[in-house]
Amino acid sequence: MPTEVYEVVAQAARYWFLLLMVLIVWRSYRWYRRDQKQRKKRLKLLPDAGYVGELVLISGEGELKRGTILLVPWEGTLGFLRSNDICIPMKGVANKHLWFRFDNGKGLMVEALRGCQLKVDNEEKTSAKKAQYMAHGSRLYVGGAELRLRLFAGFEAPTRSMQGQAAREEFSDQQEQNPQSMPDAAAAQQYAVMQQIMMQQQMMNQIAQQQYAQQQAQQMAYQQQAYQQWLAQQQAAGAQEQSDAAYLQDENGGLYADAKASGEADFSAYQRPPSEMTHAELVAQIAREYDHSADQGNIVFDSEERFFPPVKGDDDNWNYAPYPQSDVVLEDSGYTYPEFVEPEDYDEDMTDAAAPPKSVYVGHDDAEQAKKKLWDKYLGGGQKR
Amino acid sequence: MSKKRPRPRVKKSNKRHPDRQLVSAMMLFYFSAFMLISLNGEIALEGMALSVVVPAFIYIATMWLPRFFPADKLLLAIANFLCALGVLILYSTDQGAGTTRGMQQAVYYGVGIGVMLFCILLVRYIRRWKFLINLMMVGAAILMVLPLAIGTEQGGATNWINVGGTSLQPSEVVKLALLLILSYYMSRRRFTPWFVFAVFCLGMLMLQKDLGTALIYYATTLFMFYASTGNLPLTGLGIVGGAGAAVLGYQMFAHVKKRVAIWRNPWLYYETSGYQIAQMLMAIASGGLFGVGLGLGAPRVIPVYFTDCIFAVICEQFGIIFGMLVLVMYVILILRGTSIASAARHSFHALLAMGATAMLGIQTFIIIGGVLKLIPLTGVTMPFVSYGGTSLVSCMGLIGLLQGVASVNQDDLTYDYDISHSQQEESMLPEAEHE
Repeated sequence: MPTEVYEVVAQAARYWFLLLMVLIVWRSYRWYRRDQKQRKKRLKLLPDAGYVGELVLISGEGELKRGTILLVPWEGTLGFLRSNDICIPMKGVANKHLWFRFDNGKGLMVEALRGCQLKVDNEEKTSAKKAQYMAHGSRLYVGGAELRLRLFAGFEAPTRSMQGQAAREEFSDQQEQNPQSMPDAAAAQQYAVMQQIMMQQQMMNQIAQQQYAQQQAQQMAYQQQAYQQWLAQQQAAGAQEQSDAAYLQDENGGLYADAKASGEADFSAYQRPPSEMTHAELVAQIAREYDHSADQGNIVFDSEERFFPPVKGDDDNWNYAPYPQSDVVLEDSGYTYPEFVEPEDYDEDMTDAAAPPKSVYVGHDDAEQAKKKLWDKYLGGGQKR
Repeated sequence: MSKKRPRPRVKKSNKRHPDRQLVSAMMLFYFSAFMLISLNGEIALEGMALSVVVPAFIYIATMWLPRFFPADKLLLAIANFLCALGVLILYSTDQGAGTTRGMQQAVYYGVGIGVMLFCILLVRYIRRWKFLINLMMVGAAILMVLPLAIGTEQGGATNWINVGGTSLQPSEVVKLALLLILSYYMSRRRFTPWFVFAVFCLGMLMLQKDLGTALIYYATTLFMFYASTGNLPLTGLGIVGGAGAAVLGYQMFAHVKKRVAIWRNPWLYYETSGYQIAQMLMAIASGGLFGVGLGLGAPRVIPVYFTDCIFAVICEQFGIIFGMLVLVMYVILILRGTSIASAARHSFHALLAMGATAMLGIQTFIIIGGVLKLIPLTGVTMPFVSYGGTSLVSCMGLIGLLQGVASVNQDDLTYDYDISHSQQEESMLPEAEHE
């Protein structure tokens, strides 16, 4: 192309390139904004996303009430200040007390920060170098506060019983490798603890198996009985229908409704008798019995309503606390994050006030109160402005 | 104990996909731009080939790669756009100059994509970093010492080495290692290893007189320290220390004094050392709002127009509005990196993403601020756009690290959906029991 022509074309093309560039930047920006909105919506719909479990406040003096649930992220710090990932404004808790990190398969690692003390399941640690692992159900003592860890479902970490299993295996390995290496008294004590844990596990499994077999047998017998009743009723109903049919043909008949009602099968026979336990009650009973047996062996599970001990499932897996459920439907509309299909009654209010609290300690009222307190204390309630 | 993850329940939408819209606009831009340049003078087959290859590369790198693992397409699209812009500008300045920087840059772009993939896989699949980090520390330390032993001087700094006929800037490679090392040790709250390594790197860079890179390293380290600890007094002390070091450097090094003097008034030194800045300012001014036109103007008048001063060339050919839009692309990239970092579940990933973003942002600010005479000009490259294999590959590596974190985030999110939808039904706990 001749230079003169090229110059004209290139100068005309400047506007074309600018237009395309504006389009590219606009689309990129729109994409970015849209993804940000989706992220906010997702956090609103899944407020506990990114957390591995909860710490339940069992006791302590301070601003938090007993039973307060504090969500536990994968990593972070715990302390008195609100800048911590887990804020515990309780007596004896340092501004930044400990650092924690969740290791899949090991549990929640806690490490006391410089000059701080902590205790996990009656084992005290003060040195920052020596970290400890908390399992599902472990107790954490920081300052005057006692907390208990509850891991969410889906996060793989050993329960206390499994830790016992691991320790037992380690112990037996040690003994096999070098039987003389451990002092007799210590070995005997350790062995006794292992035996105790093993017995508790066996006891719990036995109870569960017995209960299950008993319930199965009851259910079989009950089904047979119900079937017999139903057959008898069907036969009676058939006979009734035949007699009623002749009556209904009579123009003066006024017993149609009664006849129909008497012809229906009595399905109340299928309802469980009050004496039989539901599945939930069965599990709860096992848990209670386990607690009772554990009481004798220094491992105490709090069977209060707020805290449920780990229970072994049918598939031989340990179950954790349930993860908060959500009925989110997603749609792949080409953005980085799948788009939420909003339900009809979806609340569009995206303000902070409308967002659910992430946990009890950052509830809106608390946050407002804390702000007001700060304002009154250090800024004279706005008079110094 | 472990349960298989079910696939996320995602419906396909019938709406027009934004990724296709964005990538199609980019492809159209580069197709028309390369076609136009190839028609300048005699028809250039190379340019025609690039008009097909570059858009195809953008499409493949943005649309196909995320099929193999969850990736952030927007980030990919922006990085690819900026890389291709570099190829375009270099190819346009090659016309009539007898150089082949555009084609070389296209090859480096391909290598950069490979490195990015490697970094994504590294972040995505490596779970035990300790050994690798220790190995990196040793390797990076050797690389930082090499220029002092066998390096060559370019632009006043001894920061290049020749390996098999190819020149290499080790400090660009060490950037990636620095980020990984800092993130690893900071996330584990171990102060000494990262501090010693960062001080060592800064010392080596000062000895090489590579002040621009030293500034990037220092600012990134400080930024990551603040991000990991939130310790404002110590960070403030670091800033004051950095300012003190800058004053000391001004007093000690003659070339630093000279650069500051040029920055304050380049027209006094127009014939000598101020020529570069003066030419850059003139190029930006001559471009005006809409530019002089692609392939036109006199970009080769500016010294090192293909590396440090490439932003002035962009402004001259496409205009200052286009230049500002390029800056907006960088801003979106940085915002995106920040949101990836804030969505990360693990502090290692969060720090890695934050560090990579900060490094790209600081580097962009230093060079564009220098070109626009906001701050004294230092010899660093414009990320993704400037000519240079090491620089481009290192920037793509940073994008790879960011993409790796984004990919892990996406996996974590899928996991959340899975357990939110499925585990509740399977749970045997009393409070979750339903008839």
